[in-house]
Amino acid sequence: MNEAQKFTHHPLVPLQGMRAVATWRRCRDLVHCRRSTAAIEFAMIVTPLLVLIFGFISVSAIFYTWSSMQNAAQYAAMLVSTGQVKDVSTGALSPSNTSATTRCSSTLSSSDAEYYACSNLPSWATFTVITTENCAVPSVEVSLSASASAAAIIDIFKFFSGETLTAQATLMKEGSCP
Amino acid sequence: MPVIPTPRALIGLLRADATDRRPAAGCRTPTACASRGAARQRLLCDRRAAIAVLIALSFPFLIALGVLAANVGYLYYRQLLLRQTVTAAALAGASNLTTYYSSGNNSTATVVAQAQAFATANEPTATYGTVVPAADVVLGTWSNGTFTSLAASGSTTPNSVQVTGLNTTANGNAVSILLGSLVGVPTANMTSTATASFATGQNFDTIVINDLSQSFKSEISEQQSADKSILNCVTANAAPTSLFGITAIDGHSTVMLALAQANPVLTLIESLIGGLNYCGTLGMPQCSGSNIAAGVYSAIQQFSTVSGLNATKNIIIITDGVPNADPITYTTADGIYPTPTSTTPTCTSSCTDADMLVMAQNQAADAYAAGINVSTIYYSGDTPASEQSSYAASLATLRKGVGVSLVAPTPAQITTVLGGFCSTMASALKLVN
Repeated sequence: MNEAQKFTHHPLVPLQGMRAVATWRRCRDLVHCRRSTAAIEFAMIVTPLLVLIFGFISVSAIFYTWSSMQNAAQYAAMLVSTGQVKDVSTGALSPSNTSATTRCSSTLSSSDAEYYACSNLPSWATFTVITTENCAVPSVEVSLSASASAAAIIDIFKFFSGETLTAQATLMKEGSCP
Repeated sequence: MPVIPTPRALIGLLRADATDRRPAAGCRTPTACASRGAARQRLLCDRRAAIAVLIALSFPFLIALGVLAANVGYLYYRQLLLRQTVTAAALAGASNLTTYYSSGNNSTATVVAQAQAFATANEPTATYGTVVPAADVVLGTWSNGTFTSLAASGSTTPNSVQVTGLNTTANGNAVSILLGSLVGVPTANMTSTATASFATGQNFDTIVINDLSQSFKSEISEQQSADKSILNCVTANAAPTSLFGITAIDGHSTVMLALAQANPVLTLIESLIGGLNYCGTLGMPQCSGSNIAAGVYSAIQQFSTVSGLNATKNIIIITDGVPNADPITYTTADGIYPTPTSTTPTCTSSCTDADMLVMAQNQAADAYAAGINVSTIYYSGDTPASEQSSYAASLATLRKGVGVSLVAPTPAQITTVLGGFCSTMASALKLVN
């Protein structure tokens, strides 16, 4: 005969009182039970630990992406500035076509400034590039932007949701303009 | 007989559980620990929740490590940005170094203003503060790998501009460090210096290719005008030792003026340009189509025999349309081979207009591979309006290096664009440090 049966079948103890004592005893056993404590402790710390680990990865990826964008923007601006590249994705730079906004893709031609702005960028994000030539100065500006959430690779906690990474380089245009 | 638990029995059970501890290292028995009576000792001996304590102690270190990594990444990015900013500022300042001389009073105002403008364009003041103060744009001389400011040397002939960018506490724009104030390092100081040199009057060797095909008959004066603009550009801006040559094309090429220093024979060259006429006229080649490839091939051969040190080599093609073939036989000198080492010609006879364009493109690519810039000037007056854009696009494919591609330039455009092109080509803007 187990404990529950003992309580249940004693004629002098009210039924509800028996159940309360049994429940209380089970809780007491659970509190003092030492089995599976490692699993419980692991479950308690794994969430903040994951937040930290994914946070490190995300932040590192963002800075890597940001620096890559800055380098690429400068490189493309330098090529346009020195006259080595005179085209943008919408055609040749000219007084009537001084700016182009396009998304980095494999369809860009190597004669386009954006082709170089989109080179050596991380593969895990999508980039938009704006090339602007201002013949009044004259100057050339290449601006790259990307979603910070995408740049973070793993943004499961949505820390960077809605944020945008922007890298921009402006150089004096040498030679003739356009 | 059923057992009825009494309250006293229940309390006894709890006490038994509460004192069921394993002894920690250094503690003989639970009783021994308890017998010391000191609360501190009990705490040390208690092994319960050890993991929680461990985590509580290690998490701040983990977080600190993450913050450190983030700071390193951010500081690297800011250093990169600062370097690019001073580079842009130095190049902009050096590009305007001529204003120091043209100002009449050795004014550095334009140089400083341009350098600061480009520094601000890259690192806006609202976000980054004044990264390049006016005092940190310094004019000086760059010689043998050393920059000497005008103030230090007393010189009045600067050839370079040195720009120093500041992200420092003293400049009021030090870089913030995330949670740095917790360890007493709230900001980091950064500086970066770039030097750009600018020199004019470099060698600018040029071969002008004049299309003398019959179709250019009505626009020959514009061709002469363009030739003179280029010649003036070379003699006015480039080094006196710069070379100038004229090669005419129809189906084949004819060297009208072999590469020679322009200045000593300026009058002779101007006279030659004034005498240019379309094919078939007195002293001009016979008409046989229009083969740009032949002219470019000839120019490459002429340049290959010249060993001008640090000279910019340029081919400027002046034409009134895309190449067109005549029923003649083309040879090596007509640029039929795609590359200098190729043994398979694009065509030799029965060539089409498309073949001629391919040949021209191949020769332009060969020229670029040989370090020669290729420019095109297209006079579209005689081209049907419906074909002008496609002709312009085809000719633009011949532009190589830092050459320009002009379409129907007005005399004013020739002066400004070609003049600007030539003065830039004949100058040397370099990031030296």
